[in-house]
Parts: sequence; structure tokens; C-alpha cells
Amino acid sequence: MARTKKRKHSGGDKRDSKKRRVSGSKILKMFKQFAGEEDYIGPEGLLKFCDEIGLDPEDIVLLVISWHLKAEQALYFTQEEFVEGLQKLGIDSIKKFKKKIPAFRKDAVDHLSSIFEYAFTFSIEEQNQHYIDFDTAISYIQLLQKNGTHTNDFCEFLKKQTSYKVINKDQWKMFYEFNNTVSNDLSDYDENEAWPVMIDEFAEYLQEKYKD
Amino acid sequence: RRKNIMSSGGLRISLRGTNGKTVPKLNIRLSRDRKRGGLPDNYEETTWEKLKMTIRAVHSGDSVSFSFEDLYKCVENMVDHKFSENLYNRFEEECKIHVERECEKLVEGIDIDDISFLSLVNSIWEDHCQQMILLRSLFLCLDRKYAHVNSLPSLWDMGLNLFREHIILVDVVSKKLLAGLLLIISKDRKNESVDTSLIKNLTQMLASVHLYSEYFEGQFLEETSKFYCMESEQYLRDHTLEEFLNNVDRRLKEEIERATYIDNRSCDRLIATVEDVCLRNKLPNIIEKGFDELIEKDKGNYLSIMYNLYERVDALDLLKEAWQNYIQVKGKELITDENKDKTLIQELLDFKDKTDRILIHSFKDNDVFYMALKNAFIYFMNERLNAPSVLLARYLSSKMITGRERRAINDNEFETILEKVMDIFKCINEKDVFEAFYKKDLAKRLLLNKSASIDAEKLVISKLKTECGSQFTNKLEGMFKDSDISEEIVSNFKDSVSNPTSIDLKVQVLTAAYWPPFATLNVNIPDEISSVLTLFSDFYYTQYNGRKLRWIHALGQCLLKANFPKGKRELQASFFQSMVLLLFNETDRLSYENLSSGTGLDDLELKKVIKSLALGRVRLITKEPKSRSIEHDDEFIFRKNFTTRKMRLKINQIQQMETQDENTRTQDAIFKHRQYQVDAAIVRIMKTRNHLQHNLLVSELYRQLRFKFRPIDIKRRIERLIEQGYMERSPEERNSYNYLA
Repeated sequence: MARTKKRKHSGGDKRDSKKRRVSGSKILKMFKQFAGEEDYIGPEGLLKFCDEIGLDPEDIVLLVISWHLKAEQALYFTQEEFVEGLQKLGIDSIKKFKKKIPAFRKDAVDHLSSIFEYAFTFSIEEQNQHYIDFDTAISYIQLLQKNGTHTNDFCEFLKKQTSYKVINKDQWKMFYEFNNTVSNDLSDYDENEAWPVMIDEFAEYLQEKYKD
Repeated sequence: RRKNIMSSGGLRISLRGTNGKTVPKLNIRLSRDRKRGGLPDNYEETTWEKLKMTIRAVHSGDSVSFSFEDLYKCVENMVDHKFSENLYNRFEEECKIHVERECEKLVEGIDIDDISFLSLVNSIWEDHCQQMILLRSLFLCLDRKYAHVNSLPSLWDMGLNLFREHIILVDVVSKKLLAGLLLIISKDRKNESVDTSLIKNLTQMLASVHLYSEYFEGQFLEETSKFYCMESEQYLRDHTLEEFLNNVDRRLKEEIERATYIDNRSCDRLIATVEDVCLRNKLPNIIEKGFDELIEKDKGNYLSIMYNLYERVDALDLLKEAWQNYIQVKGKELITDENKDKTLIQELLDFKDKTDRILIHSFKDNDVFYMALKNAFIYFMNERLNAPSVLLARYLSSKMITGRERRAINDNEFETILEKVMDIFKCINEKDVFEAFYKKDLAKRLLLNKSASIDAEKLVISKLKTECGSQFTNKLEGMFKDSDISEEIVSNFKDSVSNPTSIDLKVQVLTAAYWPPFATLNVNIPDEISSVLTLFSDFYYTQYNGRKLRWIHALGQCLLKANFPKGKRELQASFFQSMVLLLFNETDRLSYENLSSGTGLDDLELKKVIKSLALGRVRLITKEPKSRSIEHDDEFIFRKNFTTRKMRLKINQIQQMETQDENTRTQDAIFKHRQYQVDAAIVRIMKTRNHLQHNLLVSELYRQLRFKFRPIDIKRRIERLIEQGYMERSPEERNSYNYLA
């Protein structure tokens, strides 16, 4: 009979039902609460938002939320980003937001690689920029790779750098891989592999530093 | 009528007529001495006595009392009457007794010296042979009708067997004989005078008695081996390689000679033995001893000998390896000694000459050796980056430029030099470096009109084209085209100008892509000149809309008309020099600062120019205070009273030496071009493969790119290409890339 069709239908029904559980208008209202007159939530609005939710603005959860919302720029949520993002998350009230915070914390662990990569793009300020400055890089690395094997050393390395002034996306991503796959003693590091030159230089730096 | 037919001996023929009448009988009697069975009873014994006496007489050298015919008949009778067997055995017995007696002579003389013993043996042998020949001819019937028929040894062979068994193989004799033979041969080898016919006789004797191979040859070869082993080791240790080689060569020839009086059948084995101990067992040692020095000292004849010797023993491979190795090591030494850079190219050309000569003269132009030479050159020429290409380009350029050096070479010599330069060029991998530096010098030659011969220039380019393809010589050819086109443009320009200006202008328009990078310096051009230049540019733009002209003042030349109090003169100077001189049109005295602001030249350039005017051979300005260097607080006075006998004077420009700047710029251009090549190669490879591991990409690049590069440079280019979106790191597989269309 038309069983499969029915199934599809039911799938659709399920989605609809979820949607129905979240109120688009409530979301919009929430948006306007923080955006004010503008069509985006800016830094001030965000501060208010954090206040309401009970989040420290430095908290990683804020980054996770931005990631869910696919926010293009740090400290800003456009209306579209906010509304669509919240609908997908199934949140339409502050209360629901607060409830989701533990899940967001878990996301920071489960989807760390993706969030790390995201942190780069979202830190870029200008249109055609393809790099971020070291200060920004260091703060995000320390936030997202707090207990990483080479985190401290890398931040040190960046601060001491003279040949590079900025870091690009490729180097950023590959640092994450390096930090999470290469051991303390560099025994599984091979310079003949496809590491970017900056990473090779970092490895050299480590070898020099820990010569004994 | 009786028929009388005689049997066994006589023959009667009786004839009868057909009519029954008797014809008188005819008796034809063929008389034979023999009667039927009719030999006397003791014929055998008597005859034997006769024969025995004869044999003994022969053996003792006494005269024989019977005639040859008589004896011969006796033997014949014996044989015919079936007494052969006895006769044969008795004959053998007699001979045996004799041989044994002869042997005793030898045994008695056993204590004489070995050589004399040999003579003794020889004389006994010769006697034996002569005697046997004589006896054999007497007993010929026995030989033919009995021995041969019954497959018994012929009398001669019997004699040989007896000689063998009862003389030679007698223990003491055999030992001494062998020792003597080996001794005499040894003396012969030591160049002591010996009777070689004695040796020959004795070895032939041994051959005759079938003892040569089993009794003598083995020992002989062993002695030979020992002798030469010792000798060659001594030579190798105590003498030079040349002496060693000569000795081996000589000895081989000698032994072939020697084989003729020992036994030619042994020749091959003999030579092989000598070759084994003198050569085969020592091949690496010989090379080690002094092969390199022979090449170093260019001793072609000895190298020839060595080649021939190694060829004999199929060891040319070893020699080839040493040859290749020598060239690689020596070449690398030459090329990496930076102190010798000034003479490097000439030394390399000489080195190649030498090795070519040796190849042809001593190594018979052997293909394998030729390849070894070629590969060795390719190897060491690339052991040092950059400098060889630069120096080679400079060397060739120096042969192209007008001047004393060039005038001394005629066309044929030039072609020869060019051939040799090309031979070296072919070995270098970094041909792009050569092109860049050669191009730079060619540009100077073309622009400053210093080319000795346009034909020579074109010849060089055609050779480069043959070697590297037209893309390589593209730019060089373009430079020539530019020169030609410029002439046309200038003539059109002159036609187009309504009022001929006071300045006669000649311009070379260069297509930037073809020529080496020239720096544009911003300088203060005198107004008169600047207006002419603008006139030209305007004209050019009408002809070629869309192009942009950039003046390279550093290469400009001027012919200045100078009105000295002592007479008008023409001065040929560089543009910068002219700018300085023109400033003195206003006043006779100028400070360094004046000159600096007046010309707008930077310090480095200005000092060079001033130096050429104040401190060169021709001094047009005087410097205060007097010193060898130009300082910022110097002052300069125009030498009004300057005069020269020449109507037109060329002021030397101190711009001949390559500036560091020029060098760097050329290198940068090469570097950039290479980066481009790497990028293009990476994109090309990735496009074909779509997905490739990092190390496979690197090895593919090694294959395709002709110049050396570092892995780190490749990584940088890859990162750049990732950034630009040509490729990405593969998310599916570590250390790999995907092509992005």
C-alpha cells in the first residue's frame, strides 16, 4: 500500500511537531529583547543576554552557542542566525536556554575540533582577511585547548616569533591536529610529512627547548 | 708329354700347338732362391745371431759388418717364414737391455748438477732416436708385416715405451729430470743464458713418450704460478705501478715466446696462469697502487697498457669504476674549491680535454668508458649549486666581448672553445642560472655595442637552442629582435620630427620580458635631454598605444661636445658621468652635496661616477682634498685646461665589475621563476592525480623539476596553493591532498 509514503509523512510529522514545540514568535521576541532597534544583536546585547542566562561572557558556552548559530562574526548575531539557529536547537525561551547549558558544555568536548576550526573564521574581522593575529589566536588556543600537550609551548613560540606575525587557517587547523596527535617527546612526529612549515619550525623549537 | 709345373719357386710354361703337334717347350724359369720350405734348419738362429750383432753394433755405435740389403733380406726372410714373433720379442729384449744400460749411465751420473744431467739425458735420447731410426729401417718388414698387422706397437713406439719405462720413469731419473727442467726454465725466466734448444728437445722427448702432460705440464704450470706470484707481489710492493705494468706486459710476451720452445700446446694454459697470478688475483690492488696518479700525470702509454691488460682478463668493469670514481672525486675537488673560482672554468675545460684525450688514446674510445666519463661529469658539475653555471656564463661572455682577449682568437678557435663550453654546459642541471647570467652579459654587450661578432652571438644561441629547445633561447632571440626593431623605430622617429633637435638621439627599445631586470633610478635629468626623451616617448606612444616605456638611465651613453679653452673636443661618457659634467657648465667648483642634489644619484652610484671622472686615467675634475676615496665633504674643480691629442676621448667607466646588486637581482629573478615552475608543476600533478599523498607529490616533483629544491620550499608553495584554493588537505586521509577544481 502507500506505507512508505506514510512513513515519510510521519517523519515530516515528527519534524513539524518539533517545530511546533518551538515558537517562532517567541524567538523573535527574544531576539528583539537583545537587539533593540537593530537587526542584529551586538556586543552590548550579548552582555545583557549573558546576564540573563547567567553566563560569564568569557565562558566557552558562548562560543559554542555562536557555533550552533553559525554566527559569522564574533560578538554579533544577525536576526537570521539567531532565529534559525534557535529553531534548530529547539529553544524559544531563556529557561530553555538555561536548561541547554550543560549540553552545550558537552558539545565543547564532543565537537571540539569543529569548534576550534570555527573559532578561526569567526575571529576574522575584515572581509578578505585570511588570518588572525597572535593575540587572538593565543586566547582561543588557551580557551579551547586548555590541557593540550603543546598548548603552552605553542603560545610561547608564537610570542617569540619574528618570521610570522599572523596565523592562517591551514596552520590553525594543523596546530589542532599536532596538539592532539603528536606526543610530548615528538616520537611520532616526522618532518617529511605534510605539516605546514610553521609547525615544522615549532617542532624544531620544541626539540631545541627540550634537548635534554 | 708331361706337364711340368713347378711348385713354390719355379714356373714352367708349356705350350702346345692346336694341331696336336708339339711345339718345342719353352721353359721360363723365374728363379727364386728359396726352395719349398727350403730354408736351412738353423736359419732362424743363424740369422738371429747376425741380426743381434747388428743391433748391438748399432747400439754401441760400432760399424756394422753386413750390408743393408743383406740385413734387410734377413729380416724379410724371417718374417716370411713366420719367425716374426720370436724376432719381435728378441728385438724388444735387446733394446730393453740396451735402454737399461743407458739408464745406468744416468744413475751413475746422478750427482752431477741438474743442467748437465739434462744434457746427458738429451744426448742419450738423441742417440736412442738415431739408433731406433736406423734399426727400424732395417727391420721395416717386421714393422709392416708383423707389428702393424697384429696391432702390436711399431718398433718405434716400442722403443719409446722402453725409453719411457726404463729410463724416464726410473725414480731417481724422473725426479732429477723434472727438477732440472724446472730449474733451467727458471733460469731462463731470470734472464740467465740457457740453451733453449735443450729445453725444446727434452720437452719434445717427453711429448714423444706421452709423458708431457701427466709428468711435466702440471708441475711446470705450478712452478710458473709460484714464480710469477712472487715476482708480481714484489713488483707491486717495491716498484712503481709503471714498472709493474711494464713487467707484466713484458712477461706475457715472453711466455708466449717461451711456449714455442716448451710446447705450444701449453701456451693457452701458460698465459692463463700468468694472467691469473699477475693480474686476476690483484686487480683491485693494482688500481689502488696508482691508477689515479697515472691519470693525474697524464701517462697515456701506461694507461694503455693497463687497459689492454684488464681487457685480457675481462676486468674492464673494474677499471671503468675506478675511472669514473677518479673523475668524480677530482672534479668535485676542483669545483668546490671556492678560492679557485677565477680559474675554475679554464681548469674544467682543461680537465675535460685531458679526460677526453685519455679516453681516446688509452681507452680506445670505449663506449662504456665514455658513458662513465659523461656520468661522472654530470655528477660533480652539480655538486655545487649556482656558481658553476654563473662562472660558465661569465666565461663564455668574456669570449664574446670586444677587446684584446677576443682579438687574439680567430673564428675556428672560437668555435672550438664554444664546443668545449657546450660540453660542460650539457652536464649542468641548473641551466636556468646560466641563461639568466648569460642574458645579463649579452644585454650589456648589445646595449653598449661591445659584441665582438654578431655571427658568434648567433652561433652560441643556435647551439643553446639545439641543446635546450627553443623555449630556452626564446628571450635571447627576442633581445636581438628588439635591437633590429629599435633601429627602425629610431629612424621613423627622426623622420617624424619636424625640427631636428640639437641633440641627436638614439634609443634602444627593449621588451622587458626578454631582457634582464634593470633597475630604474630616479635621477635629475637635465632639461634639454629630458625634453628630447619626452619627444621620443610621445612619438612611441603614437605608434604603440597601450605600452609603457621606462627609461634605464644607468645604461645611457652620451657624446658630449666640449669647448675647452685649449680646443674643442668630443667626450664619450656614460649618461651619469655626463650629468655630473653638465653641472659644471654653470660653475667651475662644486661640492659633493651639490653634485648629489644636482644629479639625484644615490651615494653608491655617485661616488663611482665621480671617481671615474676625478681619479681615473683621464681626469676631468680635480678633487679636494687629495685622497683615494670620495667623501661627503669633498669639493671638485673642473679642469678647464684639460686637453688631449685625441679629438674624441672615451672616459673609462668604472662599471665593469658586476655589482652585488646586479647579482642579487639576477638571482632573485631566477628564484622567482623557479617558484613559478614549482607551483605550475604542483598544480599540474594534482590536477592529473586528483588525490595524492604528500611524499608521493614530493618525489614526483623531484622527477619533474630539473633544479634542486628543499622540501621546506615545496611545503611553502603547497601552503600557498592551499591558501589560494587550488588544493586542500584531504579530510579523508592524513598527509594527503585533494585537487580543487
